[in-house]
Amino acid sequence: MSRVIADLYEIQNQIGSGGGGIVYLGSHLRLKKEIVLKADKRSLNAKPEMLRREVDMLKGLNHMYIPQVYDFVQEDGIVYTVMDFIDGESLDKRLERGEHILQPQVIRWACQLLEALVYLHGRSPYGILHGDIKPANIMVRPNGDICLIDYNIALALGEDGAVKAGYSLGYASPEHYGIEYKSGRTRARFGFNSKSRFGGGKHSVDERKVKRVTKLVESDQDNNFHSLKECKEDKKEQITLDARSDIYSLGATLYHLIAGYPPAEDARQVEPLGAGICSKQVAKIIQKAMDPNPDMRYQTADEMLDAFRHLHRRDERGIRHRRRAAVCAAMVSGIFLTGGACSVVGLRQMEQMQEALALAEYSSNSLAKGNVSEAIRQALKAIPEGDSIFDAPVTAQAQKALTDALGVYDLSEGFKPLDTMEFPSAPFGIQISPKGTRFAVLYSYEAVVFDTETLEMVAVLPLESSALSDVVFVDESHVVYAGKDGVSAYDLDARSILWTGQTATTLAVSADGTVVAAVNRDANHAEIYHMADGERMTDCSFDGQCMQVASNDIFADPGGSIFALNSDGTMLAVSFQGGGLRIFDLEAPEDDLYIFDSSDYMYFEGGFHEKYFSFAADGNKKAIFGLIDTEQGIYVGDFESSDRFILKADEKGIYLANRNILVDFNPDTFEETELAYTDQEKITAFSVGNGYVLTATDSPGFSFFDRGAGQMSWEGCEENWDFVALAGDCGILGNRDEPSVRLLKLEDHRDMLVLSYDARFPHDESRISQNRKTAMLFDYKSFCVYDMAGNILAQEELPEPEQIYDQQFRKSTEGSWLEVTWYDGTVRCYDAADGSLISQEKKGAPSKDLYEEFYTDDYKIASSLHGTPQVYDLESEQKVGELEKDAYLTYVTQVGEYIITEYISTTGEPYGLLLNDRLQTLARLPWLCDISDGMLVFDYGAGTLKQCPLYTLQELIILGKSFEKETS
Amino acid sequence: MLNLSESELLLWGGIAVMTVSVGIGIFCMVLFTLTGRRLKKKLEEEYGKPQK
Repeated sequence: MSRVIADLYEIQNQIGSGGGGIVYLGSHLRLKKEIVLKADKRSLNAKPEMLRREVDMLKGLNHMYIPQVYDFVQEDGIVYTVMDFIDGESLDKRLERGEHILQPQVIRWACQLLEALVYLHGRSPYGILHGDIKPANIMVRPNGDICLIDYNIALALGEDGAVKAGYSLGYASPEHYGIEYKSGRTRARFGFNSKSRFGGGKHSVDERKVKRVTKLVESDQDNNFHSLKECKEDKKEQITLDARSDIYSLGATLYHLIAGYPPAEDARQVEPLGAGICSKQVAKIIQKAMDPNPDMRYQTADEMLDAFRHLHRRDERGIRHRRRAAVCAAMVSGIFLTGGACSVVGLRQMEQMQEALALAEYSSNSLAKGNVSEAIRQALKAIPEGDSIFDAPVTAQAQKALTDALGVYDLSEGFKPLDTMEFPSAPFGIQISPKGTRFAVLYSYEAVVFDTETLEMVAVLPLESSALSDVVFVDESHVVYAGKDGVSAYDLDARSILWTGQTATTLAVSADGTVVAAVNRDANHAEIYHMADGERMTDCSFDGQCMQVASNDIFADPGGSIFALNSDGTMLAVSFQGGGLRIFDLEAPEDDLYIFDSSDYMYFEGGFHEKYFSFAADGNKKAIFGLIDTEQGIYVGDFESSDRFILKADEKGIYLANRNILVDFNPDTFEETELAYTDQEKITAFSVGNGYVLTATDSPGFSFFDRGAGQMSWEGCEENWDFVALAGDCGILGNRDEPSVRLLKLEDHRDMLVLSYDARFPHDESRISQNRKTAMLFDYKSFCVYDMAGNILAQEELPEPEQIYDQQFRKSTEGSWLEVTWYDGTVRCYDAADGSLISQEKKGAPSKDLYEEFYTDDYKIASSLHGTPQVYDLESEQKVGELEKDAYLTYVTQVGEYIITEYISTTGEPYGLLLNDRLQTLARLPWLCDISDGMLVFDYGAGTLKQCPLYTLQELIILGKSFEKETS
Repeated sequence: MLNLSESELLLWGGIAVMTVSVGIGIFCMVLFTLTGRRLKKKLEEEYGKPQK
């Protein structure tokens, strides 16, 4: 049936026909290419211009899944559309064969179709609707891709917005039939009976396999359909189609492909695809695409394409899987971060703890050097202030450092570190006023005077540029110094210079404070001034001699010279270079006393005491101490030693130290009263104050002695002390190497006295009764009961003291008593109220190992005579630690959250340790003898019991801060 | 009995928790990778390869 159309296309044979027209296979005569010519059924009625316009529109299409339309020709009144020949097979043929199409294949085609629809719907200006999507219009190419064909109905779109729709039963959307389902209401705008139109009810599968053809409204032969013309004649409202109609058709097509049978014609009666037919997700997409209500369908092809493309992603199993993974990841991340946060916090806390430990150690070092304020400052720094999570708990070491620095548990009478004062250079000398209210430190080019009570700087005195420059206190308010402008007298209260004399370095003031003697370095004469007004009284010539002066006197004062006035300033003792020593009579020069014209002695010390002049001289091989009666002008005598004498002579006395002993020498009787004795160490410097003595020794350290030459304290140091000064309640130490001086203050803690007793009564322990009305002092031989006013209520000897096994002081609500146990098992109890024997009984002989057990809230402490006390946890009964090794544990007391353990050291000294709940030492409690009513009681063996409260950490911090505030 | 301070407990406990969580994380990662692959295979059988 070959036929040529438009001289260009040869029709070869008919390959199909449908509602839209007849399809021919043909060839392009010029291009020698297979083409398809489609004869349009509408050509008889439609205006050629309109058809032309539609074809022109289709000619512009170019998509992988849409056939290319080449031309539009009219021949013999028939309109032909010339387009690509699509090799392949339409899907309806496959369906007719009952071929089962797999779901993945359907999805793939669905995506391709939707891509084609996206392209069509997106064409300008308003998009193109295919209008007749169904299996018959979908060709499957040999490569498996599809091609959407048959655009006859698409051509019907557009003119004045009117719908010239055709449709295929079952695939067409309700709008194609003129039915609109919206918001639960149905509107049949074309006026036909929808029930009769769709035949109602469900179709059987066989019925559904009926081939469905496209119906064009204009050529409608079926009575069930109303033509558009009729609609216009009825002047009913037209229902326009849009992209959603194509989506419905596509949904119906996919439904057919998957289910194998077409969907019901009535959109409302379309059965959902079951789980056995396809996946739930796919069924949902198709169901949504075929929703009777266009508003409920996918609104665009793109939207539906998106649904297919994200099938994997939106699958419930995938979502569940991802959700589980996310939850797990979140949980693991959370755990990881929590662990990380804990680690960071722990690390920061440990860093802070290390810092605190270092600071606590620095604090201890500062305290060892006597720098109390620095020790307190560092201890406070070691204790975190805030309650930040990064702050570690306060370490026991920090609390102990603060406790030690504050010295709150040291109630002993003695000189305690007050502070360490720093200076620009090492001191040349230290002077203290007679009553100790002020002191002066001399260093390069100046001297600074301080108030010992407030440590306030009173005056800065510029000195002559020589280390020999002296500062001498006349009294508490006046000082004479070798000023850079000359010897000067200064009023410390008025803070003004009283007078200035000639240039001088070495000074002396008479004991009555009326006369000042001054000599300038190696000058051969001394100037004598009235202290009151600075008037020059006389000039004392040395007859050409001069005092011994170091070759370089800028940086150090080696000492070793005598330049001293007697009490009323009528005599001046001077030692000279070459070992000369002479006492000048300032009123009668002819009465001068020549002790040595010259000698082998190079180092002199000495001074006047009443009518006596005493001196000590040190030579190459021997040292000498000599005494001169200045009234009678006779040399009373001397004695020699191979060791150097250290002598201080003034109106208070003649104090002489040799080796390790310091004595008060009586020049009238030659008696020596011991003031200090230092065992193996040699005394290198000393100062005698009002009732106390301060000594420095060659084994670096210093000691304080009381009125009875009893050593109150000894402290070893790293440095030797060249300068010591003691007056009133203030002690000062310094040396030529350190640019600082240490201050010590006498503390007696009288306000903490709880009982005074006879210090001669020997005792090992002191205990206060439960009612705090009496105290009992006892040892293995006897006991003594005191009332709190210090009266002895009872004093008893214990029988067979050598047979006593143990003594325990017991307290209970019923009273207090001393329980004494003898080796034979005899136990006697003595009342702490009056010392009476309360009971006596015979028990079994006690074990000789002195094994004891003590209990606290959390621990059991087992102690034996020779073993280290072992600590066990009460709950687990596991050993958790040990207590002091080289001491005998006597008592264990739980006080609130703290534990106080009491010991007797190997030297017999009692002491206590304040422990926290982790058994860490918070404070050392030397001489602790009892814990009474929450108060710590100390017995220093000097006839007093003193008590203080147990300080909490907060109280210690407050004390520390107030100290800081006072000293800042 | 470990005699650790609170800070040490925090540090070492935190590190232990982190280590355990890393272990759990690796286990979960392996588990979810395997189950994910299985699921992917299943979905590909059902839906075909993901459409692009």
